[in-house]
Amino acid sequence: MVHLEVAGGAVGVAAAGAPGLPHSLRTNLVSLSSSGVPTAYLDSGILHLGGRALVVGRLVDVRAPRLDSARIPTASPAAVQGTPRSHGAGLVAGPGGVDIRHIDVRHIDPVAVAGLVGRGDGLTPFGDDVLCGWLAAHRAACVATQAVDDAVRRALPRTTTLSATLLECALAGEVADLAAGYLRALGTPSERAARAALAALGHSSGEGLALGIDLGVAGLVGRVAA
Amino acid sequence: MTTDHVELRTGVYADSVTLLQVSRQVQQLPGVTAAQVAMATPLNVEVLERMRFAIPDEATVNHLVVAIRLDDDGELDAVRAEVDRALTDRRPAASGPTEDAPPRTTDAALRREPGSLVLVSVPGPSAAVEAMDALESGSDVMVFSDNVPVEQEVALKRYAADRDLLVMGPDCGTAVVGGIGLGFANVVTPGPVGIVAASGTGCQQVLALLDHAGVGVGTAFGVGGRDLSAEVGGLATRTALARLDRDPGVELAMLISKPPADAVADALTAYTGSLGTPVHLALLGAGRPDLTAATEDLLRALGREVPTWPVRGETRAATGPRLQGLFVGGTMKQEAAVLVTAAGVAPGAAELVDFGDDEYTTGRAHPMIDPSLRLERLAEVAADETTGVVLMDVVLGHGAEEDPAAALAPAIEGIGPPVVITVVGTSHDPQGLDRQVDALAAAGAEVHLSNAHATRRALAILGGSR
Amino acid sequence: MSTPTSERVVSVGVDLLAQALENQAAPVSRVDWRPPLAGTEDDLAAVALDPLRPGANARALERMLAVQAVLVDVLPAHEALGLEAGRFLHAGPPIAWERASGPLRGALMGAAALEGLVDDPEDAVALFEAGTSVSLEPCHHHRCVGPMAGVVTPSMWVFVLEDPATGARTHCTLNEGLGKVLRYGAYSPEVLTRLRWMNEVLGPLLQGAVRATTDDGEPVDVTAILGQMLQMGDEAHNRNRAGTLMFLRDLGPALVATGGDVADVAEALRFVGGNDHFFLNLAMPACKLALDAGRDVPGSTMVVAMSRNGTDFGIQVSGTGDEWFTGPAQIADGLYLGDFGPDDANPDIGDSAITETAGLGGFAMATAPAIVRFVGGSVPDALATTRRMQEITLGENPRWSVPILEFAGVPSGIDVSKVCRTGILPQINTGMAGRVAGIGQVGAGLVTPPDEIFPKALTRLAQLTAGRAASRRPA
Repeated sequence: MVHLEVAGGAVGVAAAGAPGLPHSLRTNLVSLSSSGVPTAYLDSGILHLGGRALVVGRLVDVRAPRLDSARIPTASPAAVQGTPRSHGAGLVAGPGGVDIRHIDVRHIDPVAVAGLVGRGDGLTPFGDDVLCGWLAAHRAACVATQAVDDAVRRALPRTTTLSATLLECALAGEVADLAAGYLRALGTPSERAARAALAALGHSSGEGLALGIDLGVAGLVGRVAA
Repeated sequence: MTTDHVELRTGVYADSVTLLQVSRQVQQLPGVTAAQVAMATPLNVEVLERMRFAIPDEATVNHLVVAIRLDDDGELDAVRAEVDRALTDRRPAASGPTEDAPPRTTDAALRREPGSLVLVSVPGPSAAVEAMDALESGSDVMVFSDNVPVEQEVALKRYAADRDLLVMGPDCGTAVVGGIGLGFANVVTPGPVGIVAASGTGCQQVLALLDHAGVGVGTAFGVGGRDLSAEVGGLATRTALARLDRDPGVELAMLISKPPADAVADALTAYTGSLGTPVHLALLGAGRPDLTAATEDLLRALGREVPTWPVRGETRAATGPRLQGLFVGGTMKQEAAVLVTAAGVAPGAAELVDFGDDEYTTGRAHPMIDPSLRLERLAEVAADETTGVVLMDVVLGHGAEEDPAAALAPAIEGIGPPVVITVVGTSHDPQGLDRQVDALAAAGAEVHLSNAHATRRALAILGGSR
Repeated sequence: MSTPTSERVVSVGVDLLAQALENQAAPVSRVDWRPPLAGTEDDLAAVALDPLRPGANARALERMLAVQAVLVDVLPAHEALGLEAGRFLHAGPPIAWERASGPLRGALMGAAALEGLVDDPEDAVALFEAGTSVSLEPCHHHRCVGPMAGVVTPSMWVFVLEDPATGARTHCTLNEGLGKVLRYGAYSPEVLTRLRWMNEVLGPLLQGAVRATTDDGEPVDVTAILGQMLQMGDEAHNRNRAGTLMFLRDLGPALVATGGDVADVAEALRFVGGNDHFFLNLAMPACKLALDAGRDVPGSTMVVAMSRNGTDFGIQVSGTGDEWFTGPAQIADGLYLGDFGPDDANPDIGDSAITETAGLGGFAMATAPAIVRFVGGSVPDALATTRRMQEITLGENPRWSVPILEFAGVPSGIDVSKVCRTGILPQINTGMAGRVAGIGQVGAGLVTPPDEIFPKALTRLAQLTAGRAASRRPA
């Protein structure tokens, strides 16, 4: 996966078989570059990468799948019971020195958003991943989250370009393929396998997304029309 | 004159196959009239003696016999050296396929990639065989091939219907499945509309109009032009509609076809009534809404605004009494024909030709891929002083020509009669909808997105000349 | 949620359409489709759409794979098969003396002398030309198979194999070894001397040993040995070395315990152990037993026999009963013994292609790379051959697996339709007999059937399909 900054946002380019993210072009290229970092430029709306023109041939559906009340559990998922817990590397202190384990992620509100955006390691900080998952669950259930949305938009300058792009996608109801797969599997026999597949995405991104979806679903109990 | 050389070697062993190869190599050397390199088994000794070599009595099965018969030109040392080389260097170069050769049948491909959707475009007489492989493996199949006998179509679709599988075709030109365009398909934005179409270009027209209206299409199943006939009885249409009905992403379904046989129409009407998803019918024919009108109905049902269908370019007055329609899309031509007839145009005053018809495609590519035949006809029509207006279609999308305007725009530039063109395409089609429309408009054509509107416009131009 | 359909596409036909899919970053598998054998399109479609075919082929394959072959007895052919004096069984489809090839004639002449019908094998020519006191019939018509000339006469001893589940039986003579032997058309005194020893000493000894194993409830399981030998480099047609040694291992103690003359027992052990092909005559009837179980399933396109008489190559198909579809037998491509060459070789002969019909021999080439060197090939060629045979078969045999191909089962159940569709012919490993009667073996190599016999069988299948369709339609 290669990420490019285009007009202030990020565009991903995925090699064949790579997991689809909502901001990424999916290609059937076995490798994106013959050696090192490929050169990239835009010409007449077409992205050229490593000497190849990536002409868009298909528009992929990245919308969060519909989640109806029948598939929302009556009790909170086990994953979000109890007090703050360790989630491995993704929760370790980021560049700002803030350990996300000290934040109670069980209640996402505008105040919590301020403590989450940009917190954690890497290109997509863990706090952002959790928010993406939480937003995806609400979009899937068609439940508006105006106050949180506003808070996320205000906080976007605080995170990486890539992560800000993915948060914008999440605000628009667009999710990673594996997150869509988990939402689709909720309340079905394949739920556990779909969650495991999502959790394995990236370094800690999948863990964050899965936690965010679980938190979102827990908060949705009793709030979704049949 | 020949000389024999026989030697026994000990401590050497090679399997019989290797030694047969070594012997054959040595036999081919210059100056060698006969040669045998073998372990001295009783059988081999017998063979050697029949070749009239004298084998020493002490030979046992543990001896390697090197027996060489040379003519006058033979050099023993050179041949012995070659024997040594052949014995030590007997491993053949590792050549040939180390990876799987490509599969030769659909069945073999599906054994490697179970569950794949299958796209069949082999010649018609072989299409049913490949399609049956797909169905037997539990895969849906799109049959792009034409010239498939109707009884084969019925047999395939009966087999599929019993197993809830879908046969799209035969002669199915367009489908969008799981977001992927198959055959001649446009690049569509995913969305709430699901389509079942017995007409390829009809489907493409609707995809183009919906795209302009900002409405996405999740799935467009083709069923083949004969599916709603009395013989086939809508077998694939039922399965396709049921699929759309089960898809929670589909809010509205649309069925595009020529008018079906009466019994099939009744049965399908009853069937659509049993589904939870509303089904809009777009059945082309006299007295029925055209595809543009049907699409407008669909938009209203979705609560969407009906946009103004775009027109680009300026028209000229008619130059003669006749309308010449040169089409690549069969449904585009049929829709135009219905409107021309409805407008009361005398039969001799309009000639509509579908260059995608079998009569023009035997032995050559479809006109969406190879425009040469239609361009030739365009030149003839342009030179004909009875021509009043030329009506054409250009279909964009996957599978079609890379840049149709590149050849068509110069061909219409400067010709006498006015030209009205429908460009069927979506904003993301690889040919670039705007670029194609701009090039054709710049060449003097009036370019529409709606084939019905283009046809009415051509009729109006013709009417103005009377 | 989109409508459930796979994102992966298999494209067969116009490459432009596959390219269009690749332009959408959709994973595409391309089929390397080529036109079928000339003139087969209509028959292929008729057979493909026969409603009986999918179930019939599944049933025929399942029955074939379910068979277990155990060695239950060794008997003279007159006892086992009711074969009377003057009756000669031979390999391949039916043939008369007039069209019989050199090696078949040589074997018949030698066998006539063995049976005492003539003193000198040369005198048998007149006997067969007259045809009044002798008759020729295919082994396959008598639950029997024979390698090369495959001649069976009343006094010859045969293995008796049985499927315990059904009681069905098949038979095959005892293997004589390589070189100058009757089955390759040799009939010199030493050939007849060996055959008499086999009748008088080897046969009775084996009978005693085999009956002892059955009495103990531990008969030799030929199907199981076949599974093991495939893992030891044998393909059970041109390489039977491991199988032969396992047979000796399984039968040796009982052979010793028969109480026969010690010198005779030693000679029998030496004879079997010294003949790497001894097990072939057990592999063949085991394959025949399996394939016979797949016979006579209406609508099935599975080949149940491939066989050659040195003149014709014939196949029988499950859905067409006992009918033979024949064409000219081909000359093998391979290596020659001594100074023999292609001019010395007789066209393909023997019932031993029953092994390929069951998924062994050439079909299991990947497990016996040594065999591919008969034509100067390489190990990758051997792997490619087995994979290529997967293209023309209905399934795999889980009991007979090939380690190097991740323990894939051997390709089993040749499909007449798939042969016609792909033009890929079954690959057969074979020995080569001399063209002239009396010569014996001249080489070994690889051969395929003549391609016209598969369209012939397909046409018959299509006719039967049409007939069934007509009888279903109301008058």
